[in-house]
Amino acid sequence: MSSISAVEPPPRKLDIAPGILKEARKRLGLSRAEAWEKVNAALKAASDPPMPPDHLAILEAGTDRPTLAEVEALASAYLIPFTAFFGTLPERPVHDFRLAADAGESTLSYDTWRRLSTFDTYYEVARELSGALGESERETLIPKATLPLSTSADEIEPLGERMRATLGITDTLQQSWPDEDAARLAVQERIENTGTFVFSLSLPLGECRGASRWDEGGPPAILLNAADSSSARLFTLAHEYAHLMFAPPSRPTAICDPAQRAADRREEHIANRVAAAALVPRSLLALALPPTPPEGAYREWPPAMKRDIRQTFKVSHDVIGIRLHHLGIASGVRLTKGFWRQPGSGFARGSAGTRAERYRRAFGHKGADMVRRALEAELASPVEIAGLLDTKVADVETAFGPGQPP
Amino acid sequence: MTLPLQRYLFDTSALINLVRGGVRTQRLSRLVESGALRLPGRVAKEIRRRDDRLKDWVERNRDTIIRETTENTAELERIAREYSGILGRSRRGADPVLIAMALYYGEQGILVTDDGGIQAVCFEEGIPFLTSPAFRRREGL
Repeated sequence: MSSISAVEPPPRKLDIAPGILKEARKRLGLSRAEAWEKVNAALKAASDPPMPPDHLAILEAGTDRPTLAEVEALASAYLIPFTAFFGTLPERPVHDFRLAADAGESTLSYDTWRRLSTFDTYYEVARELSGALGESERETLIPKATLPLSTSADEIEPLGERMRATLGITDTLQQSWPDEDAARLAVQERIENTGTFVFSLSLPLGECRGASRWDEGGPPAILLNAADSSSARLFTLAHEYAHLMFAPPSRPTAICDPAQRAADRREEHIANRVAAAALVPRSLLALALPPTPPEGAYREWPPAMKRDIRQTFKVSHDVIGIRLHHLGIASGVRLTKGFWRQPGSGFARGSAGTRAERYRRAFGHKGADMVRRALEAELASPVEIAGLLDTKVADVETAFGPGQPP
Repeated sequence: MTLPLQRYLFDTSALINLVRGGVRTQRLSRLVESGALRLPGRVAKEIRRRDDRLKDWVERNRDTIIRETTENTAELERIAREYSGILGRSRRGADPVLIAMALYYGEQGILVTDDGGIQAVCFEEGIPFLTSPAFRRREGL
């Protein structure tokens, strides 16, 4: 055995699988220049030397091999495990995100993929800790439903009613919500009480309002776009919950709604209608509507009247539009101008505060409570959780340690 | 005849757990001085990022931080290939590096880890390992 000294030898080069660099980059829709920037940002974060501008092209061509530091930076930039570079890429970049038929993976921006990857990490933490705490999918209270054959009111209304009953949303309760924020928080709490994790992360608007995931043996989970308005998040909650009602846990699934084009997909369409039926029940809507619809209302409801109706339910104009259309009271869904803003706008919301505060907010009540219980029961240490989240131990202690607000 | 010096190779969590569990860094420094405690460079980088208290200690004991040498590259590649399922979805290369380094040390190296995945690979590869509490007992810390 040769001796090992503290003298630094030249960085060693690693034999990675041929073609993997290009494949991983292309899958995220990154140009070589964009990828190079992200790899260099990762190298800088790890205090490793930067990569020269043309080096990525050289590595992709196989003319040179990357160093260990470069492989780590590439794994970080391309959102794939380190070990993937020595075998094959995971089948999909993040997980089984199901996208709209006409919104392929290439339409999602890198920032969205990065946040979906974080959702994946949170899901793994939730699965691991809930397993350690003895929770299982059997303890979830999500009523299973078969995907309706049609989108007729006859089939949709009972599902909306079932969601309301499961979540304990009564007409009286709904009328007591002072604003959209209170409505969203109340529905989120009720969904969390069914054993579902609700995570919040800021995603670029216009691509993905939310996602859900329910792997075999794992807990159900919903991702909310924290950059969205409260009324939009309220609808996302109900929409994703509808997806979970249809998704058997034996089918690893994650659902993402990239823009309103997703409404073209049948299941998305049904989830929208079930969610709208749950948030805007027919009985209450009848009370909110004028006895005689104004002239021309079938073609387009007057904005002021729609505003009055939406204030009753704390949902957006668009949800009212979906509901009126579904019940045959309006001719079609006219989405509000700017309903889907351009990617990148409003991306900052939810990112304020310390890192510990952001973790607590991102994990939701159930997630934060689970981490706290796991720490208290010594089923996991702050060090382990920091390892899973790749963060500072102190952040975990501050976010989830004793004395933190629930 | 002199017995070969045993070297403890630490993973990030095990070292942080030890210090958070009350082991004073001065006592670890003594092991560093005797050459019995080693940290691969990638692990040292992780510690600097993960724990502010240990960050300073790592800085003061730079000599113990060994760069990954060229000799174990093939083992690192093999470990990453063969145990991708066990070593999980981590984007860090520290775990396969640590295992490859333990293989390079042979019987002289003892891996100290609290990570179930690393322990499973150690078991498969016949690498001696200790958990951080077991290390503490063994060294009387």
